Amino acid sequence: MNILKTNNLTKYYGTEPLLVKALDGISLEIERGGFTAIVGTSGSGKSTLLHMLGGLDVPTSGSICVDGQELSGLGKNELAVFRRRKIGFIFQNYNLMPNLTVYDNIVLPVELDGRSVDKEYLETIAGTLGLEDKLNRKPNKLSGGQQQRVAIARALVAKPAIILADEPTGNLDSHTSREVIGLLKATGERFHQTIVMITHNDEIAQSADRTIRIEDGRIVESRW
Amino acid sequence: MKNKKTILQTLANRSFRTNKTRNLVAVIAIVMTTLMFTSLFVLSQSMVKNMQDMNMQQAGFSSHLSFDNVSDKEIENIAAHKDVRELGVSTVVGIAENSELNGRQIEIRQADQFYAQTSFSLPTTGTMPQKANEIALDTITLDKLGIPYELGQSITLKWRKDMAGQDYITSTFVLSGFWNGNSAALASMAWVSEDYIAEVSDIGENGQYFGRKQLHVNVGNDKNLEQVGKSILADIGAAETTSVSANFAFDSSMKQNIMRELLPMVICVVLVFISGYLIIYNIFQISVATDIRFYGKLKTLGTSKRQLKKMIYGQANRLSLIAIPIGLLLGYFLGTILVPLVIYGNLLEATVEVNPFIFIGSAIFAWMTVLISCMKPAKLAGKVSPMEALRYTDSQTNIKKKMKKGQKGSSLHGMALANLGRNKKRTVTVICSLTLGLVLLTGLTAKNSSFDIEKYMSFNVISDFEVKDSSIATNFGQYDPYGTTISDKLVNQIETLSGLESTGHLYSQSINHVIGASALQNIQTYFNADERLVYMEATDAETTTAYHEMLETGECSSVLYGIDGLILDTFSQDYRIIDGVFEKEKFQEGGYVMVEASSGAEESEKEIQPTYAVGDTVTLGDKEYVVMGIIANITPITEGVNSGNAEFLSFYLPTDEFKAIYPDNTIRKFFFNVAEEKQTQAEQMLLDYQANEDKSMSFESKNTLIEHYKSQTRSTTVMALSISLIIAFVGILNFVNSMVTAIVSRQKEFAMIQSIGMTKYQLRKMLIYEGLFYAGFTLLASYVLGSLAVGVGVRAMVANDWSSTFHFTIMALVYCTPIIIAFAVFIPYLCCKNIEKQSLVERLRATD
Repeated sequence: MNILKTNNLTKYYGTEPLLVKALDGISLEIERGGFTAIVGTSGSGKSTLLHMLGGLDVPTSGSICVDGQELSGLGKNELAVFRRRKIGFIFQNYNLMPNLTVYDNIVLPVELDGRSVDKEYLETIAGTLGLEDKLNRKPNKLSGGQQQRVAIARALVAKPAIILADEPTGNLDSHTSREVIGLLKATGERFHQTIVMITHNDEIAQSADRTIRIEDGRIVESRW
Repeated sequence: MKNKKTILQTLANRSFRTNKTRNLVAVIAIVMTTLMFTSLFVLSQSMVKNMQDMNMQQAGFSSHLSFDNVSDKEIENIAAHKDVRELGVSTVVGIAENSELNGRQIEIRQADQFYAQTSFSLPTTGTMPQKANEIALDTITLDKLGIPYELGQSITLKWRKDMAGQDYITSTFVLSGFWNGNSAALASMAWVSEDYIAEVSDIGENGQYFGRKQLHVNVGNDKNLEQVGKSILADIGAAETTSVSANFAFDSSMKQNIMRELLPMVICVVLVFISGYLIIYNIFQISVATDIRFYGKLKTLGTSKRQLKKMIYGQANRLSLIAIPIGLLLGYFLGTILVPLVIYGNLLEATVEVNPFIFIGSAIFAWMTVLISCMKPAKLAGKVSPMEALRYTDSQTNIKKKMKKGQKGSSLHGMALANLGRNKKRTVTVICSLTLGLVLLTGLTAKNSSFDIEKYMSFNVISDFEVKDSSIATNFGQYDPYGTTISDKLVNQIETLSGLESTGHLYSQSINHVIGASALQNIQTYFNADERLVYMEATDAETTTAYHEMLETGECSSVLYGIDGLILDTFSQDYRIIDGVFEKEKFQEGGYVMVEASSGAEESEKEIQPTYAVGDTVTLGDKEYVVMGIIANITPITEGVNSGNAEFLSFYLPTDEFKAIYPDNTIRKFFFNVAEEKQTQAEQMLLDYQANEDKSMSFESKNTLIEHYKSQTRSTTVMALSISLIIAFVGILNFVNSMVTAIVSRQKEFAMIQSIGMTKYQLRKMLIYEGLFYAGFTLLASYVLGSLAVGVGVRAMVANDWSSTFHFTIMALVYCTPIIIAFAVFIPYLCCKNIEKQSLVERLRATD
């Protein structure tokens, strides 16, 4: 069953003759529970695509459907609610709140939604990611890999429909990268999460269940 | 729900704690705003209270109604009347006539506690008299008698039951209590006991006033007191002779007067709001702009607009919670300091009036200001697009664009100017905030310096010294045209004073005058205009009766003055003559009379004066005179008692003409000028004469009055100046805050620009240029607007003010200029020093 489906998605910036086609007709389907890697060169449009999927940006045309929810009709506030319920984001620069503890950072999306935290679930996640003893620290006291693990935990805790990762290892050394990707995959499998990840790293792309290559805003290759 | 609150609160908490400096600035801004609101409210409230008090003091009592000539039976009935809440009784004994008490009316009376209290004459030390030999007096009376303020002092008073007779009663009392006298009141009370009344009731005939009972009555509310009083009299079926009068201090016109006095306060409140808005808005705007990534991140994680706004308002509320109480407290203290300075003019002690509503009101005003100031920043935070926030790299990128456009390469001042343009709104806000304070300060100082003491004094005193006959200073009784205060000896002493420059004599007689047709017509026209008659009927029963009598009989009480010397020169001054032309020589030759207008020259609007017109013929004594002109009412000449009746007309004749009619008249007032360097000696002579020859002689000297008026005008501007100073201070705070945050938030940008080769001196120079541009724009705006405010606003205000002479001055602004420039140079300088503490690499790497 498809958790995510886009149909002829386009995103244009500017007007003729300076029209930039960041996305130029992307149609793709992603199944529940898989680990998909999106690869492409700088400026190919992969980040734009990810932002569209997460409801951060609005497409010029085309449709996005996440977990049965059509995004095109949603207002800004509804998109905010959509994000905190259905999407778990992981960013290259972690985007943790510097003034909150690790624990508070992790539970932030859930609490913003006014739900109570599933403590047991959180402990399991923290255990899996090796964060049990770091919950009361501030993010800036952690290493890059640790910070990204906190971001993974934050993405998982709301039990989203889909996790979107934008070059999660871009700021990490290769050893830590491997470790983080391993954890991401493992937790994805363990908690039955669908993961869509942007990466430059071919090695990481190889380890994905599926690889989609984008160039000039179009899908040029899609491989299982 | 509980959890959501917690996390948002935690977030708000944490970001609150990490921004200590910003919070401090915000707290100071809110404290200042609250402080200004509070002190303004304390001031307004106290002004209202003091004006009411003053009106009551002038009315002579503080109760709603006053009944006169009531019988014992009527007192009982009035006390039992359904409308009456409180009641006090007083029995008149007589007027003290000791010679030392000349110039002040001392009413000997018996009264109960309530009556004494509503007459502002309740002893503050000691008690009301109980025994027949006890008396309670005010300090004015004690001063006149030369008795120290000590209970148990022996006091002798002389009085008579029949004012026409010669049977004086002399009694000696023991002082049982005293209170602070009030010279604004028409008379002082001397309270005696009922036993004393019983003791003296058998002596002689009872005369006009002895034993007459008066009441002070409070009813349910202070509306329509006139009617309430009349209906009480009607309800109890009072005798014809029983009368009631309403306290005019409760009259609606008095309330309107008070509202008018409060108008400047309202303007101040609006200005305070604007200044508060400009800084608090700016602080929050800056804070949101610097935290834009923080809000953006929260947005990507799914925080809704409402939740973000809530966070901003939460911060605002927390800051208010700290700052408002401090502001209230400081404002209260400032208010209590300012009240005595602002409220003046009456000889009362200014009382600081405070009720809890002032604090609640100020707190609400300040809080509203904060919330309104937060509205736009909160909206901004709510609108942050998560995409932009993710890309947002501290500084906007249009800086390069600007430089390309210039085509001149990147000069430091060009970059500085471009930097100011990056956030036009903020720049404009800061410039407005600072300009508001500076313009206000400039305008006020200009207005203040336009006050012309010489011009003002020329309308209040006409000579260096003025000696008066003691009988014109009593409020009760009448002027004695054959008084002896200005004796030959005194005249001789004055005329032989060294340095004497000029003299002027004023004589007067009260006459009954048969009014000519034209004057009668003018009088009626005058009183029917502007609701004067209505007002008079409401406030002054005696004059009203006299007015109607005059219309009926065609006669009225009038005053005939004889004038010479420097008084004639006064008549020749500008603005004194309202109609006609005054020619001194022609006037002195005889055959001409000057008549007096009802208003002073300051009410310059032309209207028909209630007197004869120029060219009319008037019969005075046995001769006919032609009206030469109408002279404005000149206080130093007219001030004082005449017949005791309401006078409607005043005539001025040269002394020679006057003396021909009344050869035995003594001098009413003696005016004289003395050379500057001899004035102290002249004053000493008068003081000596007063001490050794005649205690009842009173005089006024111009110098003492000038001192008095100077202190008055100084105090009026104190409040306005302190408010504008605070507003200017808030402006400077805003300026400093914006500059500092602008520099601090661009650390990374500076690191970048330094990494490509800008030296730290160049950086510092660029920032100083920025500061100077800031200051330059502010000063430009201030000079333009300040000049306009002074040249147009103040000029217009002063144009109609007879006591002012307009000077164009923007000195306040000139004084402020170096201060502003100093800030503009030193802040960037200090900030740069601070920035240099971190290494370039550290700063380049620094995120968040």
